[in-house]
Amino acid sequence: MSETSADTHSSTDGLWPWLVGGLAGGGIILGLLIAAYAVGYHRGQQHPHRTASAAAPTAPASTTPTATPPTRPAATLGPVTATPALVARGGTLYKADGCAACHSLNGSAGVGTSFKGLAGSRVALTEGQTVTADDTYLEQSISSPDAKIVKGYRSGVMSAAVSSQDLAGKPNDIRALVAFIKAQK
Amino acid sequence: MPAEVANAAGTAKHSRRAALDTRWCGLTVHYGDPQIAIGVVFAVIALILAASFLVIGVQAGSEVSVERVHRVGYWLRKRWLAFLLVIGVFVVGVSLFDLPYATGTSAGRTMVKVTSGQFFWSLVPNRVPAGTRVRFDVTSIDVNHGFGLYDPHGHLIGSVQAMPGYHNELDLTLSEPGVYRIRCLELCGLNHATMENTFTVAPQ
Amino acid sequence: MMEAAAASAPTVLHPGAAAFTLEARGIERRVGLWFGVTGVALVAAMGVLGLIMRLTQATVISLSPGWFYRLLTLHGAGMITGSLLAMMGALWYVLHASVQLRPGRMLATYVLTMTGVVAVLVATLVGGFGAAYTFLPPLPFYSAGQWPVWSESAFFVGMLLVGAGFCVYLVDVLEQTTATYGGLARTLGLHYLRGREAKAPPPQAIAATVVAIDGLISCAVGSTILVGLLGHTYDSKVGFDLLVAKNLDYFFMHSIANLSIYLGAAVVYVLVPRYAGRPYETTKVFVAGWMGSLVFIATAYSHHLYMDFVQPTWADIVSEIASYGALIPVAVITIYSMTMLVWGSRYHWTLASTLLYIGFAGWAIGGIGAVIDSLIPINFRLHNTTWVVAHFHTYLIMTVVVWGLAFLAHLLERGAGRSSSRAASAWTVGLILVGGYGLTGTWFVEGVLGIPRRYALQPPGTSGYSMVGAGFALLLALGFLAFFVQLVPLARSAWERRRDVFADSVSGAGHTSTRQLGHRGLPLANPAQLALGTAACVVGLIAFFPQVVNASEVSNRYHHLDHAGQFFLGAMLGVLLGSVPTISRRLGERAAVGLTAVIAAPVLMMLLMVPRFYEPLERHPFEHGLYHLAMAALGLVTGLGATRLGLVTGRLMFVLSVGMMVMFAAAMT
Repeated sequence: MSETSADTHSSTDGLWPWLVGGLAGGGIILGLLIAAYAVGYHRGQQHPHRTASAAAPTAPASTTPTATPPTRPAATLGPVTATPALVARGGTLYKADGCAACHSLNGSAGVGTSFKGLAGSRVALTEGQTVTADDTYLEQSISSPDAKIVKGYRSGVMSAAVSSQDLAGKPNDIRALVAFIKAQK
Repeated sequence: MPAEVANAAGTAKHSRRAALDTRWCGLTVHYGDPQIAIGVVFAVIALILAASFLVIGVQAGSEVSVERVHRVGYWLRKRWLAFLLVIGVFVVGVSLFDLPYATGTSAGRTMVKVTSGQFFWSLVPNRVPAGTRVRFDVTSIDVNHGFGLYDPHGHLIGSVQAMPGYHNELDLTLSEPGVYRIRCLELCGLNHATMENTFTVAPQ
Repeated sequence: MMEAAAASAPTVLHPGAAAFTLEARGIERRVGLWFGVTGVALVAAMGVLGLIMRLTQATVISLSPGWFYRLLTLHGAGMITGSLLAMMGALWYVLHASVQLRPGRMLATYVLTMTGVVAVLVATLVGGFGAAYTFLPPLPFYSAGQWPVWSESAFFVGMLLVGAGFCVYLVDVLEQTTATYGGLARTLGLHYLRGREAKAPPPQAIAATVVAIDGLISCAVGSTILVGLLGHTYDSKVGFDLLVAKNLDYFFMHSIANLSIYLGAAVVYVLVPRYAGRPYETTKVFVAGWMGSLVFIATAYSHHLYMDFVQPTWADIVSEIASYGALIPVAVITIYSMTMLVWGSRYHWTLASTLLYIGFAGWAIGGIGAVIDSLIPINFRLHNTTWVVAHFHTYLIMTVVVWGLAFLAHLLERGAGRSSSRAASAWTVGLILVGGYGLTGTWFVEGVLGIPRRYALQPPGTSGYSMVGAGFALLLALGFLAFFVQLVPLARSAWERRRDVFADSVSGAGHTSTRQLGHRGLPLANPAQLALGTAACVVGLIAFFPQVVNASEVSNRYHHLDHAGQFFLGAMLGVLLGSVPTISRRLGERAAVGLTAVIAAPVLMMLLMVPRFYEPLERHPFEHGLYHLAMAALGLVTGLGATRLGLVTGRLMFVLSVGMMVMFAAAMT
């Protein structure tokens, strides 16, 4: 790698042919790129294809902590009659679906509220209002967990944890869980 | 760590049984053992190195002619280089056959969804029968966590990172029944050291 | 020359060393002392924090996890910075004899680094930042209520400043070594390797050049991720891809920590022969080995991502091979030939020379621990256990810190004309050995048992190990104390002799740094290269074409890539203009201005890509256009600045600055 050729003493005159040559070479390459783009564009016009999203990199989730996966609107299931069979089924789901990891049955607050005495009680939400935890509220808390967050708890946690279970699409499971919660006096 | 997680009743007699039934070149690899073997190998090498430095240090005080130093030194160095290259190529080559990365579909595997966050582990399902081929699908909802799985004896089986926005898949077959413990192996904030959960492998 | 050397050499150095030892001049001693003392003091202070943490884990002291993680963060950042300071000063001391390094640059490095240290201190101790010195995103932004946003910014700014200080130093080293020995190939010894030349640059120059290249690459990567994260603290709409961010983060952190050891290697190439009485010269094997290190240091970082299964497997395999590859030059050349030099040499054992010698063992043993963990199946079982802590503390304490102590001892021994007593040195070294290896040995054992690292609260039943570790840490602290106690009388004697010792002796012979350096060249060195540069500029115009700009709007990342293209156009134009001889003459020497431009302009550009700045502009096409022109303008400033740094450094900084924009585009979403 020679380092002294273009030293400070040489004049710039001898450089002009080179610079013009460089301009010309660059212009040719640029022209080729434009031509390639034009051809591709023309071809694209002739063969309608998918939108540009195919070219976009599928960048996985950004970092926003409250990125909630889309949840379906809560179907109003109406009040739930807590029969023993439904409660038992709810208990099974309570363990199988992982609710036990965050919601205790003995009153101690974990990552989520405890179910003990929850049904029918007054809960304060993060937005400031206080609501009654009736059946509709409990159902919504399962199918759209981020719709209402109890004060002192974080949004996004439950929705991420249950995102794979698609509970919103299983109204019978929701009824069973609500029945189970109501049974936790 | 010492077996602070007691095994489920009735299976203590199989305390030496592998948590994983990895068969490798005809050997059954028991978990808990690899780390101890690694530690022993390392200790031996470290002691040999320390002894070499000691010997050379002691002999540094005496006089050895430059010619002799060069003769011995360069003769030994060629062989030392060859030795290191052979060991290095062998060890790296062999390691490429035991990569922990999940491959293939999840057909025939029980998916265990592992979700981590500050500061909890959620495993769904959190119980499988012994011998199930499991695929742990590990992710996080906030920061990086480390899914560290400890067998019922408290030996670390292995770990995988839990990254938000990504799913890391770890395939394991857990044949030893008992209560497995999950600890967080990536600094995640205040309660990094107390973020634990359990995973049960039920006896068949 | 010989007379001045003989005054102190026989009493402290090996008698045979007088033939090839250059007497250090005042400036070298001053720089060495400033950096050595600051670095070692910082290391010692961080060591106290380490002891506190170990005692907390042993439940002897009770410290809240919040404080534990603050101290952990400070400990890591401070140790790396302190070790770097000591090693930079030591390298300056040994290199300045043959390469004309600039004291002004060294002062800038010192000021930048110390300001960074203060910022990190404030961020952790006052702000409570506790995301560890690796600041792995997105943890800095999820404090769980432990630290405010300003402490995140302060920490990032602090690390940026430390990186900038390191960058200034490395640019000086690279500029001056390549100017002294005539181009990059000659400086790395490649012409000598291929038999085109009879002589090669001295070992320390080759080592310093390799460290400079890899170090500058790391600084470019580090500043990209740090500025990106800093932008997030200002505007939380700044998003980043966590996997790419992780790659950049670990590349930076791994390389910086690793390079501190290689800096030390350059130092011991000069110091050990002085105690062995035998010169150490460059050989062809040496050159080949360092070329290997140049490649392997930069490609080994992905071993930190083995357990990120989403990392492409080929990247993991490359880094596994590189991690093993890196072992070879170290084991076969540096450690081996240094011990060969020492063997049977009637090695002159003083406090300094003993510490130099034991440092090799630290690198060897820690290195074995490292390559064991570099095997992916083993990493699966040892990842983030205390095995990791053990191996890096082995070569950071028992090699880098020990060599930092050795350097200080060497300076003061030369200054005082004597060493401390045999018994005192033996006790000091003994305490350091037992304490240091005991501390790291305990961690190795804990790692085998699966005890995780970075646990403020140890798993139940395991605090006993921390107790043992804390005991050894105490011994190590006593060893440090004993060391400082040895230094005091030496410092006093050196102070009394300071008129002889700190005077800038006139001994020109042997000091090559006074020779006239030729013009250091321009990045585009001949007409053909200028033509290529022109062509590249023309092609770079594509970044401004509306079709391309619109197409890039599909995602933030592609759009940032377009910005990178605009930056490239400006930078290429800057390099082109600055390389034209008449324009270059008009610009003048101005190397310091050029360096400032090269460091500051890309950082500014990345900061400007924050939504809070550009979103208001999007409604106004003219302002928006100006904004994009500003990106090219910042590129222009960078390119022009790069041309002031000479052929080799200028090219490298040009490539790195464009690379920073591309990496930024990859990382930020």
